[in-house]
Amino acid sequence: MSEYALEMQNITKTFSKVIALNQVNLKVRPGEIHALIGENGAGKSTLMKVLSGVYKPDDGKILLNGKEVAMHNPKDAIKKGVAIIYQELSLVPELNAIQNLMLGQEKNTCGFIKGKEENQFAKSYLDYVSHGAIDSYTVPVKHLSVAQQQMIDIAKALSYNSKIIVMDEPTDSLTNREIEILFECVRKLKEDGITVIYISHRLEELFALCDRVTVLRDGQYVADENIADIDKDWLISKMIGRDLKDTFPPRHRSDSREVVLEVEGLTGEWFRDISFKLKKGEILGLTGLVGAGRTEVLRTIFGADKAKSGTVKICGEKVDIHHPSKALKYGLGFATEDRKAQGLFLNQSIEKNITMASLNKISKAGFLNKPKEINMSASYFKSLNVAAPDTKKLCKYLSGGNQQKVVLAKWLASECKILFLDEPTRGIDVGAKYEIYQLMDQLVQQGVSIVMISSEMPEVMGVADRVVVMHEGNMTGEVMQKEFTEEGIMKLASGERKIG
Amino acid sequence: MGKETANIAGKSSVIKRILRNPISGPYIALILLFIISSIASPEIFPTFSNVANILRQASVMGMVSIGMTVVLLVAGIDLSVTYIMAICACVMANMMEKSAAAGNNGMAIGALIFVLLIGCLVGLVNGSIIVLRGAEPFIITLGTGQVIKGITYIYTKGAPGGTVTEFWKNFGSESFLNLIPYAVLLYAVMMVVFMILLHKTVYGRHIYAIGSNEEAARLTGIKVKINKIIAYVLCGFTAALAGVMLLARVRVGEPNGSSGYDMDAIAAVVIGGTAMSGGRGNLAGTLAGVLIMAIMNNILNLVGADPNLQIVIKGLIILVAVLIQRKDD
Repeated sequence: MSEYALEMQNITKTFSKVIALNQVNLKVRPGEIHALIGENGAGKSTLMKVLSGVYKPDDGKILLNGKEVAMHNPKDAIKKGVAIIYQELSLVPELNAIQNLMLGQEKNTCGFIKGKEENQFAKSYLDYVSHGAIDSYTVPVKHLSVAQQQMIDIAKALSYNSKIIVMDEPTDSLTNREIEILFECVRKLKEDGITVIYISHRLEELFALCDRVTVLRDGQYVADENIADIDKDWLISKMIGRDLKDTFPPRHRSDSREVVLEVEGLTGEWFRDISFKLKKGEILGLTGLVGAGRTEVLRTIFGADKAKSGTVKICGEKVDIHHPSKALKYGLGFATEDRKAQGLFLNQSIEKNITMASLNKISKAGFLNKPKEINMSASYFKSLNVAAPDTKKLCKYLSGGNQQKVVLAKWLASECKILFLDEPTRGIDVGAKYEIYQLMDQLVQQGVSIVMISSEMPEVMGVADRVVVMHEGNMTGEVMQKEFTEEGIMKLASGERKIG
Repeated sequence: MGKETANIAGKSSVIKRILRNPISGPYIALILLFIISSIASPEIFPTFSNVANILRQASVMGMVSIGMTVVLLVAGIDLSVTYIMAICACVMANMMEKSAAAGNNGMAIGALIFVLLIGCLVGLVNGSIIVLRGAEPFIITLGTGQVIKGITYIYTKGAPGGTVTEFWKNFGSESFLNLIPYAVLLYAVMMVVFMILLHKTVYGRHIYAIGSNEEAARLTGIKVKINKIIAYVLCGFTAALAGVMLLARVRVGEPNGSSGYDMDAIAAVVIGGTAMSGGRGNLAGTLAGVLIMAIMNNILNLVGADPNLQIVIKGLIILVAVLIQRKDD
């Protein structure tokens, strides 16, 4: 048997001139939990998609137990013993645990399902993985928690006799308790000789769970170490390749006391009693774990969701915003987290996307003024440095960073005074991130006020002037920039209240 | 020499650009169909009077397709258009019967406005239910369509009735300057109006935005609900107008006369490159779709194809036209 269960050698992958992976190596020993880390855009996902046969590498080899293999497609990869559990679970919400596990491998005679045999087969895997942590195998999985659904996904992977299981940011939407259960499960897999590749951006988890780590940066292999031999600072320096302070542009802030947005006792479906003030020319961070209700707060202020109670004041005036169109009138803008689903018109041109929130400025009596539209879109296209041949290009052909720039351009064009940014740099490469931080800095200099939701602690600390922290729908504290510590904010995010 | 190669390169890029335009698919199909038809029936098909005839028939389906395009662009569908056409034709024919008997030969403007309002009202009902209850357009418009169909049958007792005034007789059979049939002229005018609406106005831009990504449109401050309702009202309006045009041609209110227009219109719109998932397509493409459908009907009759076989061929051509469309863009 070879020393490595999986070896990926010199993997190179380019997408229309953009190098996503450049000669990347990954060596995973049998039966270990191997962490794969790197910033967003470092190439982790692309590498795993090469491994699972979604992408064909331009160059490089994949070896399983020392034997070279070619992965033609995800099904082929599963057959060869490699299964990937994605963040977005691949379960059918309306089917139950057993049906989901058997999907595509139904036990049948002439198309008729053999229920008893299926139950037996599925249960053996489900029991093994969950140890009773799954409430029921017979209710539609949409009624189960995310952690339980993940276990079903893992059980499914095992039922295909997978020897290597890749988990892509599995704890992103889990509570602490659920994370523990998942870790138990992963450790058990390890004991039974299953190799796990674990992708996460939560560094603490790696030290708690993993044996070895491979670091990627900007599509390149950086390092490969035993977890026991390294510490967090080493990891961060390898991940970003420079000191943390250079990741963020210098701040230029005015010291305004003018409050532009005041939220008092705002309560909605997923959060309670949220109060904060936003000053002119300030970047307010809104942080907490995923599911803390941050996005919902901003959606409610913006009129996209209904508020149960509470008041919102803009520049001292009490407002009742029940539809986003009204929010625009008050000078609000909202760049959503999920660009593709909620921010962009992918089938429309860059130009039309940029002007979409400002059509009233470039029209008269309902008729569009085309020259004005061309001018408006061209100026933001240029000033934001969108990488595309021209403004006629459809947005679906742009990279994540450029798509985000188009979304921002849309709100800049609307000349909003208060801008909500929900995870503004998610899925964006390091260079474009810096540009977006710079842009935010310029905006606040011009008197725009920003509320930024972010789950990335360095980003919050590097960009925000003040942070409001939420935990499970409650506000747990507010921290000024000079009091920022990662530990302090994390404590609030995990539910410890700030006293005083 | 250098110039020549530059010229050739320029030409080939023009051709490439034409081919890459999503509109060119349906127009290439249209041209091919026209050529094949001219070969199949060289004596009659390419004559002026036959082409005018094709256009006259196309104008009714074309009118329905205008509103249908708008509705498909917001990712909806309207299956009630056939019945809107029928009720409008029957009501208007009935209203005109008395005034025609009294010697009135005019436009019967009151009756015209009344039936156009009926069309708008049905559209309003369709749109409101769909938007406010978040219901599926397919089943809602199927339902309202059946209700209107029933009402039309009760109103007419199932039999053709009424008549048209001299004005509408002329409208249905005469041509402007003896050149362009009036019905075609009306269709052309409405096409221009709706093309301006879709491409030069804020409303049109909002329609495309909603069809592309409804949630993004809402979060961009676009009033999705009201815009969608207006789309159905417009569709009801053009269907009503198509009903009047059909009435002018057959000169009697016929409760069954409009059957099949719903499916033909949807086929024409989709052949013209409009996506049923919304946000993509335009009226220029729909025009090609409408002409393809009309030429097909015409040529199959000219060559004397078996009527049952005609249906099969029609279906096949729809399938082919849709299958050769570019998937992307």
